[in-house]
Amino acid sequence: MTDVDPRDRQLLDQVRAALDEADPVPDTVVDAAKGSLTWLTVDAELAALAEDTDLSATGVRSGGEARVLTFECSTGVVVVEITAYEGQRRIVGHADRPAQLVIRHRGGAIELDTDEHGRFRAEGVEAGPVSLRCAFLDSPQTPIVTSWVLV
Amino acid sequence: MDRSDVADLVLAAAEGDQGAWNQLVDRFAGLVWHVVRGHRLSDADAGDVAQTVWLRLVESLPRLREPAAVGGWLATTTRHECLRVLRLAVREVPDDSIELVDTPAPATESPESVFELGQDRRLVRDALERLSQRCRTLLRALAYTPDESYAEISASLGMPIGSIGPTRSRCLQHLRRELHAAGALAEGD
Repeated sequence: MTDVDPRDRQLLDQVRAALDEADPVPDTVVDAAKGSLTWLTVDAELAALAEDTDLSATGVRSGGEARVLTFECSTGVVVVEITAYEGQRRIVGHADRPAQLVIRHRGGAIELDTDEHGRFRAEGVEAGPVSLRCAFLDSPQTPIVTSWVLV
Repeated sequence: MDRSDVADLVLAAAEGDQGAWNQLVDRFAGLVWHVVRGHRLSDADAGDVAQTVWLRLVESLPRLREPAAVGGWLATTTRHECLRVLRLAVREVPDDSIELVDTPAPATESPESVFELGQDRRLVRDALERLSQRCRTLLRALAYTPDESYAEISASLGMPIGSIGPTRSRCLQHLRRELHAAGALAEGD
C-alpha cells in the first residue's frame, strides 16, 4: 500500500468530485469494457502491430484515406490496408500463406477464407477497434490474432 | 484491496472469470476514461480509445509480466493510444470533422445548468483546464487511481521522456496555485 499525502488526497478528491459532476465515465463505455472479455483467446499467438503507415501522408490516395498495418509474430505475418468509406471500413490484405480468417469488430465477426495466395478483402467493417484471427491452412492448430487497433 | 488482490483479479480474468474482470473494469474505468479526457478527445473518439484499451488488456491478460501493476499498464497504453489517435486526426481528418474539443464540458451545458453546478467544482475544472496537458492528465488520472496503484500511475504518466523527478508534486502545486488565485482554496489549504 502506498502512502498518499493526506493533503494531496484531499485535493484529488475535490478534482474527482468536480469531474464526477461534469464528465462521468459513460455507462456505455463501462458496459463495452465489461463485454470485451468475450474476445479472450487463449489458444492463439498474438501478432503485434509492427508498422502503421499512413498512405495519405505519402500522397497516395485511392478514393479515401488509407492506412497500411503490418502485424507480425513468430508464426506468421498479416498486412492489411484499411480504407474509410461511408463511415465504414474496407479491409484489403494478405496473410503470408492461405488461411481462414475472422475479422473481429464492433459489429461482430466476419468469417472468410483467403485465396490460394493468402489475399482477402472485406467490406462493412465498423469503424472502431478491429482484430483479425488467422488460422493458417498448413497449421490450423496454432492460429494467430492481431493486436486490437482503432481504425 | 491491495496489489496482490489486483493481481488475483488479473489472473482470474485471464482464465475467463467474468466477475473478476468486471471488478477490474469497475476499479480502473475512471482512470482510463480520464487519461483519455485529459488529452481532450471528443466523446466518440474517447469511447473508441477506451474500448480499444480494454480489448488490448483482454489480449494481454495471459501475458502481463506484472499483474499487480495493471493500473500502470492501463495508464501507459491509454496515453499511447490517445497520442496515436491525435496524430492520425491531425493528418487525416478534414478540418470540418476534426473531433477535438477545447473544453470537455458537458454538451447540455446551458446558463441554467452552469448556475446549478457547484461553483467550487466549476472552479476546480476551470483550474485543471489551465494546466499543461501533462499535469491535467496526470491529476485527472490520479483522482481516479486506487491508492495501491498511486505510485505506479505517478511514474507512468508523470515522467516526461528524458527527464527525472516527480512531476506529480509540481502538478499538484500548480493546481493549488490556480485554486488560490481563483479564491477556491483558503490560504494554507
